[in-house]
Formats: sequence, C-alpha cells, structure tokens
Amino acid sequence: MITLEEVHEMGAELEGWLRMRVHPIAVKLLKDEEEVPEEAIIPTRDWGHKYALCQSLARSQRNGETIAMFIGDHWCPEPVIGLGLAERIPYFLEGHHRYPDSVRDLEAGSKWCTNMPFLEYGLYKGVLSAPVNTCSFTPDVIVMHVNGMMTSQLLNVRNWIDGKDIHAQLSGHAACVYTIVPPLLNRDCQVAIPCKGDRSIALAQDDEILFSLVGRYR
Amino acid sequence: MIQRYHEEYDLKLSYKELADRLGMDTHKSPPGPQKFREH
Repeated sequence: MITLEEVHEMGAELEGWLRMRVHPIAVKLLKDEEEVPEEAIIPTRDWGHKYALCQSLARSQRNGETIAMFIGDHWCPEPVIGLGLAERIPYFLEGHHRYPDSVRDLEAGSKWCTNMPFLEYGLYKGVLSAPVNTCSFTPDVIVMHVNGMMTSQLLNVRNWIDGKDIHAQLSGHAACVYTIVPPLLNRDCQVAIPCKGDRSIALAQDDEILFSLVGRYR
Repeated sequence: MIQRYHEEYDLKLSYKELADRLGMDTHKSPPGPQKFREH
C-alpha cells in the first residue's frame, strides 16, 4: 500500500521530470459526503454556483485547490452520468442532447451516448480533486494535461513496466469522463482528448491531451 | 428565461434539458467563462 507521503513525492518528481505547465491532478470518487476533506471547496456551498467538472479539475491543477463535487454542483450533465452519479436515462441513451448540435442524426447521437464510458449508477455520490503533490487523500486515478513530448515519455514508462501499449477509447466530447472512467474500469493508463468545454472554459491548451495513471496494472 | 440562460451561461439548451431530467437543478447558475478566468 502506497503512503500519502510517497504519493506526494512521486507527484512532485513526475511534475518536475516532465516540466509540466500545471500540477498532475489526484482524483478520487466519493461514496459519501463524510469523505470530503476539511479543506475541500464544494462549489455550490462555498462559491454559490455550479461548476463544470473540467473547470474544477483546472482549478485543482493550476490553483492547487481541493474541490469536491456532488450531483448538485455540476452543470455539465455528461460527467454526472459517466461517473454514475445519475442513471443513464432513456433521454440520454437516445442521444437527444447531442442531436442536432454535434451528430448528423439521432441514431448517431444514441450510438455515441451508449458507448460513452460509465461507472455503475449508485457506486459513488461525488468526485474529489486536488494537486497530487499536496492532496490529503489517496487518489483513485491521476489525471494530467500533457503535450506530445510528455505523452511520449509517459508511454515509454508504461511500456517499461510490462511491455504493453495503451488501447484507448477516444472522443472529442466529455474529456472528464474519458480520462477518469476507463482507467478505473480497465486498471490501466489512458489517453483522452480535451473536449470543447475543457478547452473553452477550463483552459486546456491546443497542444495538450490528457494522460491518466492508476495505481495498479493488469 | 431559457434564452437568457443560454446566452448568459453558454449551456446548450439540449444539455439543460438533460441536466433537468437528471435532477441537477439547473436554476442554480454556473459561472460564465469570463468569470472563471478572473479567479
């Protein structure tokens, strides 16, 4: 079992070695509000408004804040479904929120929604984020905004462990879901693409993608 | 009111509809992009 001190040390070493723009983010899924650390910000309680998950992750990685979000703190619905905070209702599975804005027909919308990675409904009630070098909890997954050079280095490290490559499910939507959920389901590293929200309201850069780490590999 | 929500907060109406059906209480306002950048 890795200690919190080791998490901090390795996070700081990773950040320095890669010369990252922002901190790697420690992400933990919460089963109960009692798991929220004392220092954590809850957006609706402490800021008086909702946040998108990508915005909270951006604040954790840039400002060093610890942020906990439950269903009432989100205003983007896809992470609410992807993290299992709400059920995959028929309206979602039929693709209505994607059509006609981003798919050519409802069938394509339904296909994308059905294929979006998700955690089983009811397992978790919230999500917690903080910089990995100062987090007060053991992360379930570590999420990083990295450029091509950093990705190459991280992939080399992944190969070094057991020779396996990464097989990723990629989409231009719901970056928070695609970077958090597959690593938890597959217990392996993951790459994901910043979505429109991550770039436009959470300040992901044009040359960045997302890389996720989990503690154990299959 | 819905139009105002759309213009002020850039939340697509189709997203708002889904969020409402999920019980996310969208009447509590999200910050706009500019507000986020001010922090």
